[in-house]
Amino acid sequence: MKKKTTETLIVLLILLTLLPQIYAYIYPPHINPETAPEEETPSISILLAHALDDLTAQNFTETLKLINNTNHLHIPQNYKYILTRTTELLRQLTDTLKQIKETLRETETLIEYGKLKDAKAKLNETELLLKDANYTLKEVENAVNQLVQTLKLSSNPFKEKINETKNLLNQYTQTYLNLKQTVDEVLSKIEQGTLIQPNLTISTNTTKTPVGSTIKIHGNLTASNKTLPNTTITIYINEQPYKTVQTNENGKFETELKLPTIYIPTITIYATYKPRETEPYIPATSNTIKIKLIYQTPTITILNAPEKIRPFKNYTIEGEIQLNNTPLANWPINITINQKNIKTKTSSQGYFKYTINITTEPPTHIINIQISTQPQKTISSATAKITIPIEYINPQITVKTPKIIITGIKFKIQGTVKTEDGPVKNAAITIKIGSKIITTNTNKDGAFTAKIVLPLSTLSRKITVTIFLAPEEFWINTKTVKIQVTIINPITIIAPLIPILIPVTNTLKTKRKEEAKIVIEKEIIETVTPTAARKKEVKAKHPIVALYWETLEKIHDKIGVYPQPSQTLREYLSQIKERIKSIAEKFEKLTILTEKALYAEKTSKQDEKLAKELHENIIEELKQ
Amino acid sequence: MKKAKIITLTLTFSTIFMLTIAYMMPSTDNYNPENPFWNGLKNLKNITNATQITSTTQLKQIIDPKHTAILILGPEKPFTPQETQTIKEILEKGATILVADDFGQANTLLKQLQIQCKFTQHLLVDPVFYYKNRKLPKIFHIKNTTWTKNVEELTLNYATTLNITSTEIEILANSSEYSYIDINMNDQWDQGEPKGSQPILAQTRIGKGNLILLSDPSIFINSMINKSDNTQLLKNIAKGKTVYLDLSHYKTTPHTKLKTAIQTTLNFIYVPEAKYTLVAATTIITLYATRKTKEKTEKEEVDEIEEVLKKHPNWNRKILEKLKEWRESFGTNRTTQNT
Repeated sequence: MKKKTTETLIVLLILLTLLPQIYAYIYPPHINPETAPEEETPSISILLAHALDDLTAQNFTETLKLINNTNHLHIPQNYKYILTRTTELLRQLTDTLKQIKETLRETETLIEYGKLKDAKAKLNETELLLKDANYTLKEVENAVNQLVQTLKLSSNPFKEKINETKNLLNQYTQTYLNLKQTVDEVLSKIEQGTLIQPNLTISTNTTKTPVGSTIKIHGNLTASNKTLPNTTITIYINEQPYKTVQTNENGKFETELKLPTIYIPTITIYATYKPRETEPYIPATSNTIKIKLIYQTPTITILNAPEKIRPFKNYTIEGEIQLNNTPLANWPINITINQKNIKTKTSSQGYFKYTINITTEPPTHIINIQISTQPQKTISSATAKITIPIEYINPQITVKTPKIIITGIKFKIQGTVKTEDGPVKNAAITIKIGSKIITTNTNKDGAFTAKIVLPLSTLSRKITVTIFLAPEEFWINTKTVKIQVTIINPITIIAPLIPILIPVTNTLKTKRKEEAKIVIEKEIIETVTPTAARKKEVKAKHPIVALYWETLEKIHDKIGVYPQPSQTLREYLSQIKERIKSIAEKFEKLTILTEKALYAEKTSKQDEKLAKELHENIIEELKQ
Repeated sequence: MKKAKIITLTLTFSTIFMLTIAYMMPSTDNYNPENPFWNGLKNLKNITNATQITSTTQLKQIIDPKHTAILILGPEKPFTPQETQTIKEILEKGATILVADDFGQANTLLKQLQIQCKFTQHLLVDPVFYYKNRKLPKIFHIKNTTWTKNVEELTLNYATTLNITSTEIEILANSSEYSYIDINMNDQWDQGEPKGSQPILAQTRIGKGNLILLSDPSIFINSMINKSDNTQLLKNIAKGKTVYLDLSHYKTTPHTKLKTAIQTTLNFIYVPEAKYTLVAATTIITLYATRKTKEKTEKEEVDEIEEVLKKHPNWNRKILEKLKEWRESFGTNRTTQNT
């Protein structure tokens, strides 16, 4: 049981750790688009279905939007022609149906206002459009069928939608026919005399009047030479109902119209009459009268404006406002500077003057200035706009830095920053050398100094020192200066010497050892000669050899015999053996040790000890 | 001894050969700027001349944040509070940072930055507007802004969407009306799955900087960057700026780790201190080895003479050395005559 629990826990743990991998497998970050599988059914069918839906719902704008979006569809090359043809036909059909709807609506309005002649003309236009739409719809149907066949789509939804479109077209056709019938009926009734087309005329006392003034309007409503008293007439100004009046017993009406204070060249006035249901009249619309509005528009002339604006400096904008070449004195004006509004007035000579001083940076780096006047009576408003860019200036920065920098040794980077206006004070200076960043500021003279020490851990190389200048003033541009320097780390010089020094030192040591050996050998060879031997002070480098020679001196004192130059140590021993019987054995041992010291690589401490013993013993015995 | 030498040499050469192959072979990691294959960012690197960042602390080295763009694409590791603080500081100073993610760890960064937006981490699917299949949706509802200038269409690849809950975040692009989020990954729209236009690109200001959020980092991989106007979006973000690419939040394969280690070693070796020391050391070792061999030979020669002198201490060393020389030259000449 315990084992099973452990096993289960282990499995769970493994699964937990693998969870991110499993998640990554389910949700891969991406796939290779070139090897990605294609959709089984091209998406054109969905788009087409939606487009036809919108079309049948008379959302023509949406339909056109969808048709325009077909260029974002992924269509294999060999289907592009069919798709393009289908969408173009659909676009055509949509446009035509939209026009039909529009003209039918206009026709209805014309009929409503009794403009039967115009309504008839519109109906003729609609007839042509309907013919066009029928033809285009047939083409669309053929194109859709072809598309369905080629792309092997299900034809049922499209058949349904094409039929719905046909129904829509039939609906329009029916509306057209109804309207046509209505018009024909009305005209027929008028001909028969069962319906009377009234005649409504209007006139004004003037066709030219100042803005906002009052005009008199007269009108007359008759029907078959009969007057129509006590009927309501609606007066329209610029197609908007403005006033209603009643005809008098003579079918006439007269009223005053206070014209709206709008500053446009002309306004149109007409009147309409809508009969009551029980009346045998059709609606009537009067003639249209154009009234020319008289007003004046002042001209704002900017006489003086800066080409560029530098912040924290005063600039003057000057101009004048005239009306028909006559200055507009004491005229109120609005000056808008980047959404800040200032109200002022022109002088007695019609001049205006304003001092601009920009202290904050506009988001678009330009100053938009608008000078405008308000309308007053027959003087309309006027506006003048200018755009002045902020002048951004480039600072000049000079930098002095050493070309070679030694790590561990302090060095200076100095410089000055100035513009044409003078030194740039308090600008932030950031100096980057490798990973080291130093910040400082310019002083009142625009100068800066940075004292830097690069740590000894900095490696030798050529490096770019970046000096970045960020002035406080937003109109002074930032600037970056890059200078190449060489960093030398003393370790660069020392490090390569180490692998050279070690063997050289070793070599020298070995050489000295060998030289010492040679010296010993040389001295030993020298000490072998009788000449050297006769010297009182014989310095043998080897202790055993030194002992030998000391012993030899004592023997010589005893027996008076020195070795010959040509004699070896052994030969000398043989020569004196008989004469030093008691010490011959010991002297032989000492001789052997001396030979070892002379010709072997090295002797041991034991040999030296033995040699010393032998020497002492021999000396002792010689004394006896 | 000889066998040991051969084995050692063989092992050494094999290791060097293997390391060379490992180094020469390009990386195949996702979003690796040295990866030239379909899933790498080699093209992005070439277009933007991006500098690679292997630690967020390197961002502290940037001295001109206003002219800096930082790309954080598909981070696989979460962001620590220290990293977030560094990113926040540089953003506030005026840097532009693009955070593009789909199923990664960017939400940890957004949460710590207190941005009222997160990546939904569910798959965006568009059954109408796509490239090849619905998991590569096309985006053309794009607002005209500085970042999206001349960008009329984007093609995504296994993207997600943005869940934005603040009006301060400006939506720059949306998927089409036909798209939906396929939460259960069955390629079909099911009841409860959000349907309709979804935001995929947005931006917000933090201090003086701009944070751009994109719900698909894959649009910049080699195989996708040339699709639609994906390159143009990148160019707009990088325009006039020094670009940095964050690589510190990826889980790398052992191959990439090995390559990086080799590169680091090579970089160190190229440093003058190491370079010259190595050359000098190699030269000295070679000379030393040669000298040792020579000494050994000489020692062997000296030993021979010593052996003779031990037996005949009264013989003259110099004469013996002379005899040895003659013997050797006589032996060489004889060999030459025989050949």
